Amino acid sequence: MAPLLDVRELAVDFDAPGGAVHAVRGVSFALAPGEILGIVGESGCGKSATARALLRLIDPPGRIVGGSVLFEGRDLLTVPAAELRAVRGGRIAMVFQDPAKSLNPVLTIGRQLAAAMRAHRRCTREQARARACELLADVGIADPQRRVDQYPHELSGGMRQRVMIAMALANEPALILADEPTTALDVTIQAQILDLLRRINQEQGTAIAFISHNLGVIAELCHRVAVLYAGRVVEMGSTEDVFRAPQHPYTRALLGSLPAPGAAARSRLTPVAGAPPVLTGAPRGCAFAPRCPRRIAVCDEQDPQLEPVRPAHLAECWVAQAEAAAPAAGGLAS
Amino acid sequence: MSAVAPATEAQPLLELREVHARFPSSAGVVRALDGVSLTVAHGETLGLVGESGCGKSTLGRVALGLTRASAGEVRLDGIELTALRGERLRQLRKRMQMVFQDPVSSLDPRMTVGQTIAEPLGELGVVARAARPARVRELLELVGLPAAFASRYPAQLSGGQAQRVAIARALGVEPELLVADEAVSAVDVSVGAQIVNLLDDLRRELGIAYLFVSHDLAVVEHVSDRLAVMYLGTIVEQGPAEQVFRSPQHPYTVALLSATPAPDPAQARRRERIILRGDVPSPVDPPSGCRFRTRCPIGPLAHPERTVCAERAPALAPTPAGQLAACHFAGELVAPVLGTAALEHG
Repeated sequence: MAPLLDVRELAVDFDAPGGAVHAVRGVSFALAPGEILGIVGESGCGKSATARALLRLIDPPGRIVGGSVLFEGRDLLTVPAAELRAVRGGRIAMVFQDPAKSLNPVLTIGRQLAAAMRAHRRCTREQARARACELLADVGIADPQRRVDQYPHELSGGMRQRVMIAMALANEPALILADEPTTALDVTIQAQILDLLRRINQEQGTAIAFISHNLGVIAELCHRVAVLYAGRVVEMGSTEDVFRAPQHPYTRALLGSLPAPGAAARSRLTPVAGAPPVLTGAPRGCAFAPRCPRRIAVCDEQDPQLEPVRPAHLAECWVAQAEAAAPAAGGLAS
Repeated sequence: MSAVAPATEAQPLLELREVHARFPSSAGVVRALDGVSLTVAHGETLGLVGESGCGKSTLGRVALGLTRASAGEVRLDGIELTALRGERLRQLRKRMQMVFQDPVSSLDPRMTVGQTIAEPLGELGVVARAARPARVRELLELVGLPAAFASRYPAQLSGGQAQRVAIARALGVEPELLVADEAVSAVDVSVGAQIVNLLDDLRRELGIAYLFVSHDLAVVEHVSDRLAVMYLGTIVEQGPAEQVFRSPQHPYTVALLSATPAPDPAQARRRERIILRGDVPSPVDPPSGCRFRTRCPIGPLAHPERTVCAERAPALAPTPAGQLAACHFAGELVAPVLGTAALEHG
């Protein structure tokens, strides 16, 4: 199946007094129709910049410096602004972390939903209102006829995020870009929102790119996952493979630093040693090498590339790739 | 000395008895804490979990005397805190300190790390001026930072480093109790692990007791000896952490544990999720009887005949499982996934 979204070698710089910071350094991934892809990483790994760059939402001092974003046959990085506007909120919808900041405080929920619809199609005020109520009911808001006339401040945080999702669904998108959509919510409300996204994906076949720092949430929701480190995808595969058999030392370290549920209390946690690199200049070799327990000579010399190390499981690591290429010693060799 | 309670062999370090905290707001009186009782023993870690607005942060502040209780008793080592004023209160404050969620904004941006750490040493008169630089170096070393950091400003620190500085500042007065309010919530996973390890080292080396306030159940499970679960200003379950995690008795605890995402796709697929309906009601106008009844999967929503839930507030009482739970039907709702998880790890 042809991918719905095909991102290749995406690169984003942020201009800073000390020289450009290379926040996204050649990120490539694809998303199939109806798929939920998780994009996970820690602060500064470039996950939000990647998400925003897909729709050219990078504001100065940031700028997109390379790559392509193919979506339904067009490169979103080069299409004219009018065409891009039709895609934003149309075929690709966005849901952000803070619904309070994404909603207009002085307009009713209904007016905002109607505006989202009427930006992309002609409909009467009555039609828009009826559809707004339908959408609110779809996302699990009780009493939509009353809620549609309320203002954002009259709604709880969880309900506001439901409104944002209703707005995202207004034009029946093929893809929802969700950037930390549950991070500001309580855990029982987060469970409701994840359930809603799962249902939308199953019932309407909407693909979702889900950006999060929360490994648990990613494991719960996503079919596939891309792990970002220092502006690169360092590992990508099915959620099952990446969480159960991580191939990149960074993914292993990240999963290892989490407290295991049910494990002996106060067993020692293993933090990832060191700190992420400063992404100015042109780093040589693997960006994780200085913190990596498996580093070999080549890691400091040459950039590894994201390559398959197991079926449908890619890692950008010299060691993992060498192990995959070496004839298995008494293992699966036929 | 009238405020000193008769000492018993097991006098808790911190004791809250029937504490209420009410604040006026434009919408009415917010009942942040409504009859909360708990204890923290010397050297013990009590995990305090709950969602936004449940009162867990207020509880932390009341425990330190930073927010005054409207009613009830707060005792540190038997000394009634609510009755103290001025110098006596200040003296007691040396024995307890707080670390906040956002390390960078909890530090004064115009003060160096050294000044920040030295400030309480002077304020509370514990270290003479001349001895302070040496003590600052000692404290930096204790939290795993190089002595050279004393001359840095908060803006030059990472989140994890800033949290270490905040901890060093809190440790300067050699507290017996540290209230950690979401102390690892704002930092990355890998940094959070460093802070959790540091707090554990300090507990072992210095015998510090923690009131560990957090919404992150995985971290709380990891650090706590005992656990208290809060909902809308009350404690709904309390007991040994392992016991509560393995066999929660209150339906809210069960739902909370069920809603917590595990970084394990196999477990995620297997689990039966309990998804609570609706939102937490306003603490201005909490439901009558049991406060959880408007969302409870085993309350009147599912069983209309259970009128008792609306009529009578359940008391926090011992359950057959061992811990305390405040539910008329404690132990009825079980969490299938927790049994599985315990089997796998145990």
